[in-house]
Parts: sequence; structure tokens; C-alpha cells
Amino acid sequence: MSSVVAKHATDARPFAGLNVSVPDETRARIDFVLGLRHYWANSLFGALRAQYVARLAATGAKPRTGEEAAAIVEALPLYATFAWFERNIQKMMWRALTEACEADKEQLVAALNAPLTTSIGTLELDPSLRLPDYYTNTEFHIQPGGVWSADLNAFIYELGAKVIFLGKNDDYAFHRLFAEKGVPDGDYKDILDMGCGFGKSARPFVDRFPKARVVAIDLSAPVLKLAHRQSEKLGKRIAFFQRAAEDTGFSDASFDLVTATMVIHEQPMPVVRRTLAEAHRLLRPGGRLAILDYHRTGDPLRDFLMLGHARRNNEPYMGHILSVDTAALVREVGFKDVALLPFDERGGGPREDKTWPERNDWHFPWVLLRGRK
Amino acid sequence: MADLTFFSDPAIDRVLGVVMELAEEVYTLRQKVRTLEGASDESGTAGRDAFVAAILVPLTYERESPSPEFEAP
Repeated sequence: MSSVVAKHATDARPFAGLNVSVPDETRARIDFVLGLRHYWANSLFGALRAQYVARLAATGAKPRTGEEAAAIVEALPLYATFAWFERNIQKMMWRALTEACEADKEQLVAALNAPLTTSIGTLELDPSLRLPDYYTNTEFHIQPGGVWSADLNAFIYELGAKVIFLGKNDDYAFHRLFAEKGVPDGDYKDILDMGCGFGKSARPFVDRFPKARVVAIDLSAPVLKLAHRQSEKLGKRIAFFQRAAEDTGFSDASFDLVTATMVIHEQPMPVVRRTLAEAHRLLRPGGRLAILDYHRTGDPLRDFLMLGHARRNNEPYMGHILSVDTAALVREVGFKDVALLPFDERGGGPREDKTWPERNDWHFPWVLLRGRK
Repeated sequence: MADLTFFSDPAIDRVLGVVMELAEEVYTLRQKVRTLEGASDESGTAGRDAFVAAILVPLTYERESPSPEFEAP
């Protein structure tokens, strides 16, 4: 790779360790899309907020919720532009990432399916598992073909997961933060990570609780194969299973900690309820639940844009999770000591004072949802 | 299947898509030319962001030489 393009592609650190030899042109393409995202999240969002504030001042309107702000925001001159860029930057990103991975397709797919030379952890796929319709009928995050329909898609998704955080999630610091600050100290013997994807949410628990047995499940065989392979390479002992979070098949009271990172906002509400009930069933008395997901912030502009993000980013069930009291759902299935705390993903972790981090840029409203059986 | 549109006239959605594809292509070609010329450029991400800002700044109605008659809608 040319040194000049490499210097420009400073956000291309996601390529490190992925064994993807991305052509120079593709790196420049991805870098450009990252530049668009920076501009969109900072300048465009800032300008949209300024228009929103000016409109409230001019009209005396005082919306209390995202829904009440809808008509005001939709009438702002920049709203359509902001919305267009949100969806279309994402589409441009997938095109560039697909191009990057397609260049090495044969090698990547062969490597994913080659026999492993290590056996630190395990992988159990279930070819008979019927993937739920809600899962296969939606191209979540607008990723063509989703994460489940082809082996290459796992690599594309892995690359995208880093790029989407604007270069601020290198080495998955976000996930390490959740494992380190989102879960209380304890002598956990068995940990289950639901919806583990390519393993980024499960691996930090191996580091924090080295004596525990870490089990991780997902619906997608391609991402599980990648998760297993990367975990072996990194020397992390994890038992991966292809199972649904709402129906794991594990025994009652067989875990001390159940986690789900960025999972339940993609599930239809009946599946969310079943997933929470399943987590409760799987935990031993005193066991802990820790979920990292989205929630309303109380800022009508942000909440309205988040509701729209669900549509613009092909996450059709997210609106449900933003419209219910998720802490109440967790209590309903039997958890005690339930708390819902804003989560500062850029270093602070859960905020016990329940205030939201103050920032000028557009960012996701992360919360930690925790409970005890 | 038609994709989501956001502007009052869907033609704007499509034209903006064309403009962004061209901008991406210009950036990619610019990088390639710099490589071929052996140009030294230490600006890194700042250079990229300046390029993007130069392309997109008209969207926010900002002008380097604002006219007193011009009022952003």
C-alpha cells in the first residue's frame, strides 16, 4: 500500500489484524465515507440543532418528547439533508466495505472454513436451526444480505462495526468498557453472552473474569465461525453455540451472569420479552443481568432523530424499545434491583447520577440495563 | 423496490446520490494522483475532512463572503 494513501487513511486502522489486503483505491473510498460521517455527525448535526433551537425560540414551541418534536424537526430546512446523509452514507459504506472484502473473497472464505490448529475454545453450529423470519426478512443496518446469508458477510460486518464508530472503537474499547464497568465484581463461574456476533462483546469477559467459563451464542453461522477463529487467534477461551437468545436450550440456573450487547433493540417486542425471561431462567439465584442498549434521552430532538434512525438504518423494531419502559420489562420477568443508567461509551461507562453525557455531536443514546435474580 | 426518499422531490435524492458518488471518485482519484506524483502530505485525516467540508459546506448555507441580502432559510 502506498505511504501517501496510508497517511490519509488514518481511520483505516480497522484493517489491522483482519487479514484483508485492501486495495489503495478502496481504502481511499472508505476513508472518504468516514470523512462524510464525521461531517454529518458534527457539522450537519450541529447546524440542524442550531436551526431547531432557533425555531423553538421563534415560535415559543416547547416539545416534551420526540413525537411532539416531529413536526418541528421535519419542517427544518436541513432535516431532509441530515436524514438523506444518514441513510446514504451507510449505503456508501457497505459498498466500499464489500469492495474491500470482495478483493480477498476466496482467501477469506477459505480461511474461515479451514481446520483450526488450536482448540482453546469450541464452536457448535446447528444447521437445523430455523432462523426467525424477523431476522432473515430485514437487512439490519442496511447490510446487503445481512450477517447470516454468506461467509463473506461476516468479514464485511466486522469491518463495518469498527468503521461505524468513526474510528473510536479500535480494539473494541467500547466493549471492554462495558465488561469492566457495566458488570459488578463477583465470582462468576459461568457467563453467557447473547447475540455475540463476531465475538467482540464476549471476549472482554474472558479478560475480566479469567476463571469463568464464557459461553456465547448467536443466530448467524458465518459470524460465529469468525468469532471462534478470532478468539482462537487471540487465545480467548469461549464456547460458541448457534442458538437463539429467546430459546437457548441451556439448563435452568446454569449461569451467574447473562449479557446482551446491542441485541434487544433488533428484536420484535415479543422476542425481547422471551429473551429477558430466558435470561432469568438461565441465571442462578443472585445471578446478574447486564444489557447494553438504547433508550430515550429526554432531549426531544435526539429522541426524534433516534426514532427516525430506526427506519433510516433498517432497524424496524428499535422504535419499540424506545417506546417502552425497558426497566419495567426486566422487572416483569422477575429481576430485582433493576437499574437503567446512561452509559458513556467514550470512557465514563455507566452514569450513576442518570445524567446523559454532554456532547455536541450526534451519538447513540447508550444505556446499561442491569438486574439481579 | 424503491428506496426511502427524504426530499420533497425524489429527484433531489437521486441527484445528491450522483453528486456524492462523484465526490467519492474525485477524492479517490486525488489520492491516486498524489501517490503517482510522490507528493508528501502530512495532513492525514485533517486533509480528508477539509476536502469533505469543501464539498458539503454549501449544505449548511455558510459562505466565505456572506452577502447582507443572503439569509439562510
